[in-house]
Amino acid sequence: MPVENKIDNTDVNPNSVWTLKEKTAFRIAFIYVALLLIPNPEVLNYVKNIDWLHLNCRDLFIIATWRHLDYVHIATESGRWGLLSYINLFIPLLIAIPSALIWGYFDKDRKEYNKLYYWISVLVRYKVGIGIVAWGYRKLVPGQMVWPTVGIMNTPFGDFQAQKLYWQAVGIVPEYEVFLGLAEFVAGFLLLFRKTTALGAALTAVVLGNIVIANHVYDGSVHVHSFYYTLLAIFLLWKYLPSITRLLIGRQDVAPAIYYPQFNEKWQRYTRTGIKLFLHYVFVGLFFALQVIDYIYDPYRIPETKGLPKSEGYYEVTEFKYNNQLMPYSPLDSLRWHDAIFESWSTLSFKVNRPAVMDQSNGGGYSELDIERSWELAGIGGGRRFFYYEADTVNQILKLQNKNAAHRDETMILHYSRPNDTRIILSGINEFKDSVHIVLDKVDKHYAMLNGPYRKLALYNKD
Amino acid sequence: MKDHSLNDKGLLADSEAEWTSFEKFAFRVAFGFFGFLTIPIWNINYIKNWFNINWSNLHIRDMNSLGGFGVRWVQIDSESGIWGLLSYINWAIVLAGALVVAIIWTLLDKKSKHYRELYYLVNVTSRFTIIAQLNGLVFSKVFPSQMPPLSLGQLNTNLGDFTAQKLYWIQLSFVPGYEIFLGAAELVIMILLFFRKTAALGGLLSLIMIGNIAIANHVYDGGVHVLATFHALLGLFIVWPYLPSVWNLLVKGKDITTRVYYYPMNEGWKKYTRLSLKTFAFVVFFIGSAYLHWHNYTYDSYKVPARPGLANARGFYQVTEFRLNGKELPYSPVDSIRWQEAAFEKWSTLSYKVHRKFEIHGEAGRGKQFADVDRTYESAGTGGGKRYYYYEADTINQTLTLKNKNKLYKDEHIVLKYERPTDTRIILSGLNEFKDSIYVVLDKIDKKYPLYEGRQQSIGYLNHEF
Repeated sequence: MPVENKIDNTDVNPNSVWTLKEKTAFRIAFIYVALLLIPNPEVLNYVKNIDWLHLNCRDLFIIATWRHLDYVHIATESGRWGLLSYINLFIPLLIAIPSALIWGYFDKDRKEYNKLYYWISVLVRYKVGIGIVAWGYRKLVPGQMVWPTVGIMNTPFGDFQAQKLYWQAVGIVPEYEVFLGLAEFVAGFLLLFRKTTALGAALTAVVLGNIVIANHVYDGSVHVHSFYYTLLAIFLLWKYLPSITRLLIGRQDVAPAIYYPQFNEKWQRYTRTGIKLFLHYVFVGLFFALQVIDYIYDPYRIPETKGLPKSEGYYEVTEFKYNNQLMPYSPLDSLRWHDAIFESWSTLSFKVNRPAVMDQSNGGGYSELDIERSWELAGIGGGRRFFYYEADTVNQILKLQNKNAAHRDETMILHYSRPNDTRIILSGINEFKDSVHIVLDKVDKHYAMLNGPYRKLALYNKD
Repeated sequence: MKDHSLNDKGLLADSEAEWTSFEKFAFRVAFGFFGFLTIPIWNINYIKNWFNINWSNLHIRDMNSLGGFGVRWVQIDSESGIWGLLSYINWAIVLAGALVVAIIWTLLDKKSKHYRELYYLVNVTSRFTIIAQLNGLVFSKVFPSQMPPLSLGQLNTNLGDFTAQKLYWIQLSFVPGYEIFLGAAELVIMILLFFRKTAALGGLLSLIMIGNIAIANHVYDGGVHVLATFHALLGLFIVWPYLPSVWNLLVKGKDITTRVYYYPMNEGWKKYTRLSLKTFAFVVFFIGSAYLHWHNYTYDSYKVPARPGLANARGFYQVTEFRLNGKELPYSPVDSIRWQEAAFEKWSTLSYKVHRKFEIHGEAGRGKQFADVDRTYESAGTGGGKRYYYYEADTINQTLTLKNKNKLYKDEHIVLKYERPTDTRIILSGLNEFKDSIYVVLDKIDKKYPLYEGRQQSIGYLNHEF
């Protein structure tokens, strides 16, 4: 690669001697950033178990967005949502400062760290670029926020945790999700090329910085991870900032002076091109293909097993017998179902007035098991229970298990009959080993979200 | 734009270098377009607004009428005309006019070497157009009243029963901190645009942030896409002369010199004119607007009805008993007459839910209405069988006079007697909108909302158990 080394007196001169302050700041930044790049052991464990012959998008996503090392875990409100949740980005700084001072003591005669600065920047560039491209793909192929399930459509606004509304607000406009994905993809992709580093870093800092704030206010759970990228993007942008300020604000002439190493040997150039091609092939090309395959055949947020044929919909509970005793509807009842919902996949949900531990995650999808695909129940309160079921269509039996990780010991075995197209009768033993007999009738629902003025019909359909 | 190389002084920006004929023509078109849309000399009504306002008794509504002007000669009543491409038709007309002007101008003016003074002028008017139009949106977020807190009716409406437009707005209604942050971010745009040294950054941010808002308005049918696109476009126009330099600097790593011309306004009368105009703009669009919005937020948040509701009635109610013409109807989620639930707000709104279709009041509840019945942020864009009524309470005769807040049913008036045997029970009786007699017993449910208490591990439906 031909390289131009610019020399002038207006900018940081790569051939000049760095000041003591510059050297010290660099040593701290170098160690800090290097520590941030160390992957979490959980990631390594996951990678060990990857079936490389049957790679899917989850595998590449976990590699591409590998999480940093967690030194401590603080299980308090602040540790999860607030200031203390940043502790694992702060500890490396505590390590970096004394280490840098020791390094400085033994490396006093050093004039500059141009090479080291360049190479740590390359690592950061690829780490951030690959990570942001991965996040971008999840939206560009709109699977990260999915079209609302029937259950979500029928949950009152106040019964959602804020984070759920944050994600679902994007889920109802897939075309916007694609746009947001495109913005992230472009930001990340620009970082994969040396010349467009500054543009990519600026875009990443702006886009991800806003995501940090939004995750804080909505309890979205990925504030630390987003902040991590923002921080690294600012690290990359740092050396360009004086020039940008001078150009846009100072109206001064600018002569940028950024150091690039020379690759004179043939093998150097081949190695460089080889590594670059490989990374692009895996994380830009292959990953995209895997994400598209996932979207078409088995979107990762949504369970895979099909539900009872033609059962999808919202049902009123016309009749409810508990241990052969008829129970009338009451919004305060903790046992009688208030309503029931069949999704197009094998989930049955119903609402009762009884507290439950709410799944506060942002919706799962790392597992391929249906019962662990928790988008449809994560962040939803209000008493709705979500059961995964396996249907024996010969004997007309549903074997149900609560999908909520905190209540997975709840199981039911219910016989079903379908006297007509809109009625389903369930009877059997519920999660408390009591007998129930339930008559469900499908309600013909019209959703404003789909049928509002001038609004187009739903774009997302699992079938 | 031509790529000029560094001259010996490095000060090409202030040189008299001649523009290419393409640059000149492009500028004439741009001047026609942006000049027409940002310089109000042709718009008598807008100028009159400045004199018609009651300056001794200002209201945030007045800031709207000072906030520049749009061109709305043509409105095409179709999906595309309201939400899509055709909603930009008026710009096409302006552009066509600008082309005609540019052609005539080109024929008449063979002498001009450049238009750097005019370019500077329209850049300034573009900056101040954004400032004049954006300040209302900025300060109604900084003092969070553009997306006011949710009503109990909204909290108990299913997600699928909102239009996309409504969801777009109310997703900020429960995170006032974020609303303030977004307002502050837009305020940064205004401040950057106010100073010419930072105008390029302001233009860039306007392009990115308000461009994003424009796209969001398109996908959610939010309704302010034309204005947002306009600000993004103005932002692009403002940052335009810097773009080649940014590209050359950051991507190509070349030495660059700026060529953006500043009209000298630093001496004599020019200096005083500049200072007084800027001070005036600052007082009106920053200080005045901020004060008015703070005042409005504190004393009469413009989207929230002003009249207080029945004392201590605020709450979400179950319908314990419902009689129609003397006959009791049991609960059913598919009953078209029997109420399923009801809510009294802090202000004078009563809402209830029945299983019956009605036409949704489509607009997002925007605007700055005077009358409570017209303040429809809580009810517009909401379906699911939920009816919202404004009411006036006669506390002596214990009657409520209800008026449907949905503009399509605005003639629907109902008069109901109320009794309050206990703190948590309200009994309503009278004739409903079909002149049938109803008797409704409402019992307040003490409900906890995961939306506000989602960090707690255990959230059930009601909280009387724990």
